[in-house]
Amino acid sequence: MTQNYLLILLLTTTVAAPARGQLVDGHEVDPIDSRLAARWESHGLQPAARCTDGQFLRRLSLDLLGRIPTEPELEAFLQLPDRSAAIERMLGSQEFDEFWALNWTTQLYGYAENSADSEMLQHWLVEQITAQRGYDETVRRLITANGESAFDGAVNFLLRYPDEPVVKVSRAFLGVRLDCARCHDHPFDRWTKDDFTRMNRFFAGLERRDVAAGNARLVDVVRELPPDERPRFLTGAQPRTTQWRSEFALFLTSSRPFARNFANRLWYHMLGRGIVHPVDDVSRENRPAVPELLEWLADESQRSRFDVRHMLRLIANSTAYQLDSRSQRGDEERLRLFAVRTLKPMTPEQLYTSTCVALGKPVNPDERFQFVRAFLADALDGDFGSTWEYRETVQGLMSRLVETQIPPTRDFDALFRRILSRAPSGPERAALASRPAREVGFVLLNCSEFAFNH
Amino acid sequence: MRIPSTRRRFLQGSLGGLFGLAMRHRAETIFAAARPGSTKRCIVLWMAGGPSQLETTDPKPGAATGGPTTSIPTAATGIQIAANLPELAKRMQHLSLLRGLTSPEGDHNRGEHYLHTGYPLVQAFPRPSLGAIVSHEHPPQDIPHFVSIGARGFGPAYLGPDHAPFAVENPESAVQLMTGLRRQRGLLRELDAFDVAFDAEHADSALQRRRASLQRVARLLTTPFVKALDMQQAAPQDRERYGESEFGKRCLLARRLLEAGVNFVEVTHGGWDTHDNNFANVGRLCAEIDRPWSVLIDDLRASGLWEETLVLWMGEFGRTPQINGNNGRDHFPKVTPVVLGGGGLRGGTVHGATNATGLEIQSGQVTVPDLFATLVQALGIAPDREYRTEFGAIAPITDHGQPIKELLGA
Repeated sequence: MTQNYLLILLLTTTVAAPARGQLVDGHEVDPIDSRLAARWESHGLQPAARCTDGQFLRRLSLDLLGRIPTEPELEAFLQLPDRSAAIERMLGSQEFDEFWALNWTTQLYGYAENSADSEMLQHWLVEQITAQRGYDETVRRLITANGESAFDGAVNFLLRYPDEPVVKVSRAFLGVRLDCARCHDHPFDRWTKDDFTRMNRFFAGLERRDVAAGNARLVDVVRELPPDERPRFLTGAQPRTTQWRSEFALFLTSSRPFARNFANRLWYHMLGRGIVHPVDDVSRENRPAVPELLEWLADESQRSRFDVRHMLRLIANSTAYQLDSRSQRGDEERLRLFAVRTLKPMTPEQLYTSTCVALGKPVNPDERFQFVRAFLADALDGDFGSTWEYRETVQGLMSRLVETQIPPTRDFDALFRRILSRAPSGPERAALASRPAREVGFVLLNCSEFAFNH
Repeated sequence: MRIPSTRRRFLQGSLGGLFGLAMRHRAETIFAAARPGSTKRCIVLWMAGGPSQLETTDPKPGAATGGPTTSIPTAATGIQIAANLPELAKRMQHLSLLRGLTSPEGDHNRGEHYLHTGYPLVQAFPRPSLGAIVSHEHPPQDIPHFVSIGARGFGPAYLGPDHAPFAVENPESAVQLMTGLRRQRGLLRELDAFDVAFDAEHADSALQRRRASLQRVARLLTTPFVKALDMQQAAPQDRERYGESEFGKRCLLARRLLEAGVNFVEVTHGGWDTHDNNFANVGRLCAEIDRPWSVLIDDLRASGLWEETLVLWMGEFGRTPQINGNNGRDHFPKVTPVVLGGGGLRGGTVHGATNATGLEIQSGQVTVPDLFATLVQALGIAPDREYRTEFGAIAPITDHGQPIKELLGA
């Protein structure tokens, strides 16, 4: 039973559609837009209006660079609001590489008191992104990494999960939660305890050796196992060599769920909601909201050899990405089908960097880590694989509310532009214009509009 | 995070601003507190580093492994403990000892995780700490349910950030935080007014949670929590009884927080990793905890909180009966000492026994999941309770442990 369902799941591919839009009546139709438009029409949904230019730049800057735009960037864009050009500019910047490496490090590694290992992983990821390495190749390297934590950045991913690495691996790269199957057969799906055990066995040869203070080495030991205990991928595939990890990496990255997971997570990052949502709960009970869109994005991921920038470019240029985010009660269906933009709470890293931009302060990695700790009230142990979960604790919020920030300017309008990337409204001017700059700064830096990507 | 829907609607539907809401909310809390059959409360005295059972609850005088530690009789007939804890010995009729608890985790991090959550550490599947569970099982209130004194405490995992420990590294800075916020009250009101427009235009659960958090902050400032944290306001005779040691102050703070409405307090006392010079060090550590721990028991018994409050003493593991070359003892999870009392538990009992050398458990062996099943049941929570993680995985409250019936009262 299990195998059958999985095989179908893994082998299903849709007929390849052209990467760029088809021509309909002489006009190019965006492949994302056309699929969503058909959904909206069949569900009788009215999509939200296009967001304003200022809102677009703020949104894009947070999603691609991890911070709000600076005042000069905003000014330049408002004078020449070419959205596609802004997308290109950001995708080509070093800041993009660094933000995405940080983002992936948090998703793959989480936080630790001693950040030396995660910093090594992060440096390694920056190199992969800068070198335009395909995501499939990056993941193969993470899964097959050897060497020492202090020298070989990639090895720190598996070193982080010495027990049952398959739990994290299948969640991060397949969007599948095998967690429940570790104790008993999955209650809602067909993953069995045996599936879990056999998947985990790909890593049975893995050994962690502490070589020096704070430095560990990952080595492989060849294990002999009887045929019915040998590793088995969820598709039923079994290794033919002794290089179990390498074979696993190939099974993994050439599987269809890997492509879907990659596409779905990029979509989630940009739109704030997965097509399968939550992104790490792919199961029979949790169907994709727009299956034809997910399949197309998965196709496109495979066609582009998992080119992150290419996929982000397609998504950022789509109508859905650029819709207004205002919603009301009863809009669940519109939000689920991307007819209105979902709000995203800023991650602590985004909030810190954006605060620095607003106040004109330089970014400092140590200070950033302190900020993250305060935000999460030190609850650093946890899985941070789903970026947009709102995790601020009451104590974290309190510690930020007592901080005194020196406002970057006394000019009321400039404060709004620098912090909220917009001009004040009439009522806001009436309520706050006469207040000291310190108080205006406090309100703007702590308001929900600043704390969310909208 | 499972806020009953009525309360959620109440929070969403409010229009009256932070402070109006704060006042209206108080009435709700009072009714909630009066609910019958509610979950009990808990104080954990956490001996960071791993306390030696041979110098505390299970001395072996005369054995080669016993070292110079002697034993004394206690108020409970037939029970002897180490002479390091004379005050505690006088209160043994109210306490129970676990001498047969065994754990496989001999690493500090893994042991701490195991004894805080009842589950072995799996990085990709974090488990909630007992404090987060107790927080989750109590109805929502303005005062934090779960406070960790002297350490950051263990997190709520899938139970959500609302059940994270309120960490008090030191009371002075916590008081400073509160007074700082009180000074900002005008600005908080300004912030609340500013948020109205944006919040009204967006239907989003994270946005509502942030708004609820801001409201919680505002309400917290009106509770006795701030006063309880301020040790300057403690009665001088109390401060004298608990002593001026760090642990003494923390125990007094724990009592004050409990009285103010906190339901789970963890007090950390460090230094128990006695690989070197074990006997002098543990002697000193015991002298630091003996009196405050005993005074805490007396006070809880006098105020009537004892019956509804579980008091636990433990660390991440026990220590080796073999004495190493530095006159110290190393990690020995095989025997992990625990002292329990209050919360309706039977007093004056010992569960389990080690052999003459302390190297083997002879009878009454129990596991960490068994301990957690016992604690959960004593706290008034069904030990077969199951949670669902945010992604639907079933997470049993304990890792298939069996409650230790002998401890669970008549």
